[in-house]
Amino acid sequence: MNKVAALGVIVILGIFIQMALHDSNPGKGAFPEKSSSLVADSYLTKSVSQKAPAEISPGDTKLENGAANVVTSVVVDYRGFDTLGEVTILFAVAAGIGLFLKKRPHFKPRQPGTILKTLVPLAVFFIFITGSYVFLHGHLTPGGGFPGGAMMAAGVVLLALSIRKSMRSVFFKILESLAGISFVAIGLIGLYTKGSFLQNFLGAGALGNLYSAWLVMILYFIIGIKVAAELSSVIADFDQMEEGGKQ
Amino acid sequence: MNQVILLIAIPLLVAFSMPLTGKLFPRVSKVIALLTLLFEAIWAGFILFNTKGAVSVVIGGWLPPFGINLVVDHLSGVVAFVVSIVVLFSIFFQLSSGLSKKPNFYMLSLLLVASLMGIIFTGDLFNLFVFFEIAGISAYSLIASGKNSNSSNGALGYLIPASVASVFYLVGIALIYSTLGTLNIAQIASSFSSVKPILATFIAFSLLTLVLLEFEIVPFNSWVPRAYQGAPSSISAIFSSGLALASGYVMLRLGVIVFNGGQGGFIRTGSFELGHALFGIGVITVIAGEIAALAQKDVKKMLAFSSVGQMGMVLVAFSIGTHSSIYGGIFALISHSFAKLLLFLTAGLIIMKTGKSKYTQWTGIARCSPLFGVLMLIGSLGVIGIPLFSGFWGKFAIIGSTVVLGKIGFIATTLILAASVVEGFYFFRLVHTMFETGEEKVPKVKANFAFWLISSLLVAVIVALGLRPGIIDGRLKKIPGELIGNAESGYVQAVNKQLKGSKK
Repeated sequence: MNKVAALGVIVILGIFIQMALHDSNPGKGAFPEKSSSLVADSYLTKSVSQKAPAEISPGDTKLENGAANVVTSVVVDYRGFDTLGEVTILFAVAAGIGLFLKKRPHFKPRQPGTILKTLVPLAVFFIFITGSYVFLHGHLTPGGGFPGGAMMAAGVVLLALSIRKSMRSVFFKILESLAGISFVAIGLIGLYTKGSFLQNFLGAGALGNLYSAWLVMILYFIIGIKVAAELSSVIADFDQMEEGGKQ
Repeated sequence: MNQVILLIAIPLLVAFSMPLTGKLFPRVSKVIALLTLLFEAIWAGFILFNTKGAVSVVIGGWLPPFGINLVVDHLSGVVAFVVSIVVLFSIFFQLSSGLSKKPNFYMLSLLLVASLMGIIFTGDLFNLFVFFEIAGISAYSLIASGKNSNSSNGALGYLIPASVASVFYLVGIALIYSTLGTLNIAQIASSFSSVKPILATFIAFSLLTLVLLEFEIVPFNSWVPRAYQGAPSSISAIFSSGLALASGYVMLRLGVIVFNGGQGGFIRTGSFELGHALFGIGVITVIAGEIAALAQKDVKKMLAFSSVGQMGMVLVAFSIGTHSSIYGGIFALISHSFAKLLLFLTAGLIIMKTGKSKYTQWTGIARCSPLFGVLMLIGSLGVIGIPLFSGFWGKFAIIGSTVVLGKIGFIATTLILAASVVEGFYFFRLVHTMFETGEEKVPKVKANFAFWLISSLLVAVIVALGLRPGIIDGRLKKIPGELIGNAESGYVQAVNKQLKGSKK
């Protein structure tokens, strides 16, 4: 009976969606022929607060935002406040896991095999280099703090598996904390020097240079560290704890 | 006014620093968390005091609709102030009763208050989603941190529907962006009437699914009883008085400003009478909530269902969308927040000290410690809306706006009055049981100084609002004018001024 009702709800919902998307009434539809009014157009031409430049080429220094990677410029600069929120979500998850898992009393880690022992140090080296490359070049190339940080965390897990002493989350927690503090602190510096939270107070730099778009670069570095530390601490928590502990 | 961002930034900063301070000085870190909440209350009060009309504050230096903006007006100021006080009192209660020792609990409470402030002040639809996510994730963990058998169950029962609703909300955002090309609430509001009618209805449906779920409205509120019962009492109080208040606020803002274009009257999207649908589910929520509360023996569940009933009443008021009904709805929400906070904290303390969670086991408690009976009585009177207590003025204004509506107004008026009678019945049944002489000897319940401080302040607020609603009326009366019509001080106007400035 429940299943039939659920099916009915889904069918009604499907018809509703179909009708909404192919609405023949006059007005603006979901798939406009010409989407000239999207805010994203201004992000692409970097013309949010100034007139659109005729041409954007590498080395330009007069742009309102110096990140060559357009996605990054939206995520970290134009809508940086959302990213602070996303980072906070991850932080809340880590904190929640720490709240309701408890320490395992007798914990014996399984011993790693030879393959893990020999190969992991080598692999981890490359993983760390790639990870840090990804988040340090977030303003130039695809990627950024979140994927870079996740890569670093994967390296940490591999390392923990191969060394096989129980992971300690304290170090990661401190790193995570420092990264979080500096994110908000940068926002506050923007507020008190330029008058608006998370405003770029460092200048845009030359488009396409490694040292450009300072705010984006620094924030992505912080995000990378924070994501890596958070994911590692979550894994460390899972490693040491068992379900059902309330205090 | 751009200091309003501190309401979000400071709790985030302190929460981020807590893993550090929690390791170094575990005791101090909890006190710091409490001081941060105190700062929130003071700062929100300061912001409210200085609010003269709607002001838009940009973040990151990018003007809306490109950047994210925060909007401060009388409505958001009042709601933020009440929410900050609710969270401060609840967490103070929790800390002083020594229930939770882990610093993570306080960390998550700070995240919760930061996200509630974000929900209240943000002027961007996607940013609203991000803050709803933070609120949700902190709330799941906080519910699960309770110690009874229903805690993890309740958290899971909240997590699954809330996640599904989030997906709906995201779909709604995507459709709005592809249709109108913007995510700024004020800009959407001024062009929402040009969207095709069925699409507009679907967008409204998708967005409201999440909002009504947090607002505890039938049929989205299946999570309510278990989550309230499983959570620690202070968290139940924050849910009922803080999260529900903030979501009611979002409901009002989206409903009146965006979907209805600030016209006033029943909310319409395209050809669909959304207002009548909301009116209908509001009425159903009132009936379902009050009947379920009547049948409930567990005190916290009973209070939870009573919240559901009250929220249904507020939804009825908001859906009508006239000046007096919006005023009444907000007044009812605020007075409910204070009264329910008092009820939850008192009930939580009694449950903690006696270990009895059903009202039938509470026989004679008020004989030994009469002050608790009095506190429960005052909280109940505040919720029911007896004259001289705060709930009266909200219900009075709501009824005043429903009676003029003709036939459906008659139904609504009858229901709200009948609901008050039912509320009266189960609340007085509870208090009466407390004052009965029981057969077995009941231990005396003792409370610490913090509890007496909180409860006496709350009693003072409930009675003061009941005797002299004028103390907050001045600000509340301005709210409908800022939402409905195109007054110069209005919400949409404030943001649009910035838009014009950006297109020199």
